[in-house]
Amino acid sequence: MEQYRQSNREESTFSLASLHRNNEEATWSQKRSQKKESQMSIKKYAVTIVLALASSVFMLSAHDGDDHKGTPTQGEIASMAADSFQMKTATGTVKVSISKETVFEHEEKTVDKTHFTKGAKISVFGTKLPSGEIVAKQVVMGASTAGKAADHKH
Amino acid sequence: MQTAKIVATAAALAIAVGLVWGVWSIRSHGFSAREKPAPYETYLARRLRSLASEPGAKDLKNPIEATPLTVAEARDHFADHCATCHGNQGDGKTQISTGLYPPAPDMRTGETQDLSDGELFYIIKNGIRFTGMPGWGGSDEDNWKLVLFIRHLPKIQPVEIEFMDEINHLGSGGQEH
Repeated sequence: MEQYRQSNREESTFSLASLHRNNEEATWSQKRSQKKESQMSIKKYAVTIVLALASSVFMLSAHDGDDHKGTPTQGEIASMAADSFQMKTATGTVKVSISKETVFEHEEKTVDKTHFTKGAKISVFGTKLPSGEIVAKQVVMGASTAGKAADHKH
Repeated sequence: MQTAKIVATAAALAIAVGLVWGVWSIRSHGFSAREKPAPYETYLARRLRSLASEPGAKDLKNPIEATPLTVAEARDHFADHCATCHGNQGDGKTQISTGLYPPAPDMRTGETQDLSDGELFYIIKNGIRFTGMPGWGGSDEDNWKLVLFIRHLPKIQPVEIEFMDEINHLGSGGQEH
């Protein structure tokens, strides 16, 4: 009888220890899952912050005044001068002012303005003044002109 | 003592009537943004807008000179970012504006033109809370140029509207065509 009691006590001690261990395992597992969740949340927050920053940068760059090139005016160079040229368009001849900031492009490559001569077919991106004059930001010549025009639409 | 009681009762009655009217008004109309703001709301909003500007903002001077080029650059900027709500003419008669509460103002009138350059600059940069006007941030130079263009709006020419239309296809009516 005493032996039985002893064995019973051992068994119950064993099962208590096992229960305790199970509990510990469960707690550890819960902790690990909580840690995982918190790591996931941190990751989510990080991704959200990165996305928010990226969109802010995009918004700011989209608000850059230099991007407002509008649609290009297409035509043919009628005559060249140092700081301007005349361009024949479908509706008449317009003066195009150029400056140090004006970019000249031929088939996607930046070139010198001397590359542009009378008769060249071009597209001019710039600011149109009420007088009809265009202050050029970019003058494009070559096959890519149509593509460029599409690129500059907002 | 008697007077104080009468004043307190009158105040409590006024608050109760106000609450009942407020609840009735909300329940019968809802919060539609398509309604026109009541005069008292417009008055309060303008006072709040005035209070919301940073001290000293009102006195800021525009460092950019108004030339045909600076005004034209701002016109293209306005056409691209502002005209969707304000319209190419700045009259605020656009599809979006009619659904805003409050709607975008007619910028050619005193409501906008009476503001100082500094206030306009501050509003463009920081926006106006509880309205559709966002704080654009952006470069100070571009924002000051926009102030020049807002000053130019009352005398805008049809050819300038045409140039804006090339950018945003809004015409003079503020609705894309």
